[in-house]
Amino acid sequence: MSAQTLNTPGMGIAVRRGDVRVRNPGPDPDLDLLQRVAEGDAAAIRALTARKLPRVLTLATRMLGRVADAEDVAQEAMIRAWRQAPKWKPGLARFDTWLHRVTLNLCYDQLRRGREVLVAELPDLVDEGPAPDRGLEARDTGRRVHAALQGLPDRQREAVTLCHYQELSNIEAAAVMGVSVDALESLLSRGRRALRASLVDLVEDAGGRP
Amino acid sequence: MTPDRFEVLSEAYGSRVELWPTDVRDAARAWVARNPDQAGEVLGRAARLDSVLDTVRPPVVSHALRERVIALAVPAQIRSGLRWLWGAGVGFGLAATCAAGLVLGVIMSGQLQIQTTDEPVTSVMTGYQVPTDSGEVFL
Repeated sequence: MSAQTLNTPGMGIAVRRGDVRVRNPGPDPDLDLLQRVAEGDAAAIRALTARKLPRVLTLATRMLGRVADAEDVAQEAMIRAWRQAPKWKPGLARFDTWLHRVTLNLCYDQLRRGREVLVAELPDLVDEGPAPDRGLEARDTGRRVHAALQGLPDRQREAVTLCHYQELSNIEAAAVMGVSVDALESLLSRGRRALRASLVDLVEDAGGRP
Repeated sequence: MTPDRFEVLSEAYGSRVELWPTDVRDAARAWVARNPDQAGEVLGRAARLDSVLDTVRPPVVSHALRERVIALAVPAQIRSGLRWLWGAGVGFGLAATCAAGLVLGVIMSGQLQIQTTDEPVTSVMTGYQVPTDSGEVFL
């Protein structure tokens, strides 16, 4: 399958099946760690896990809604990262961008398998650990936002998750999604508008907060 | 940077200009400096949505999941290596088989004898009328 290069001002994005390439991706902050992982360095494996597993789990949780499913996806994504480490070719894309693409692919596989279950059930709440400063109101707000995210069309949820929660740049997010930056911007706008509409009371209340 | 473009960007990327596309950040900051009231209103609207979205905290990685992932690192790499070796082995096997076939073909072709025989050319009915000695005509 030949690479599809998307029209992105200043930076080309090439997307292949199961692959993501960004022209001039810039220095990869994970490269050193990845090379040590490839050598079987136990400390590097722990460090890369600490750095990437929370991001992968967050992405999967936002996409899938259910913690158990998200943990399965996160584990599988990390196994693929371990397999990829010895074969990693620097310069094609950042490792983090590749890992996001792999995680999203796994999420879509999971969504295809369990679509009817996801629609029928209220998603599990994420165990956020002890947080004495967060009251019931905050937890209810979180639950509503979580549900509103799950109510978005997949591609809009993906765009909002990558840019807002994962804080990927527009170039990286577009590369992960395999769309142009313009298309990403459109998905983001529609997604955020839909969220604003479904959470309008919370958004108005937020305006009154000190 | 126009007011419309500024608003479109805030609707897409939210209130934090540092997360906007790199190629528009400077222009956006300059626009904010020139139009503080208008920019404040637009960014404030986006910030209210951002703050609501941020009430969903990131999930906590359980100890069990973290240890499972770490424990799977080495086996995954070994399996990946074995898969490479298996692929290389299959490739080597195919190459060896092809080479053996080629050698065998060359040897056997040297032992073949070329046999040619002059076979009579059979006539083909063309519709042409051939008279015989007896004067009969066969069609």
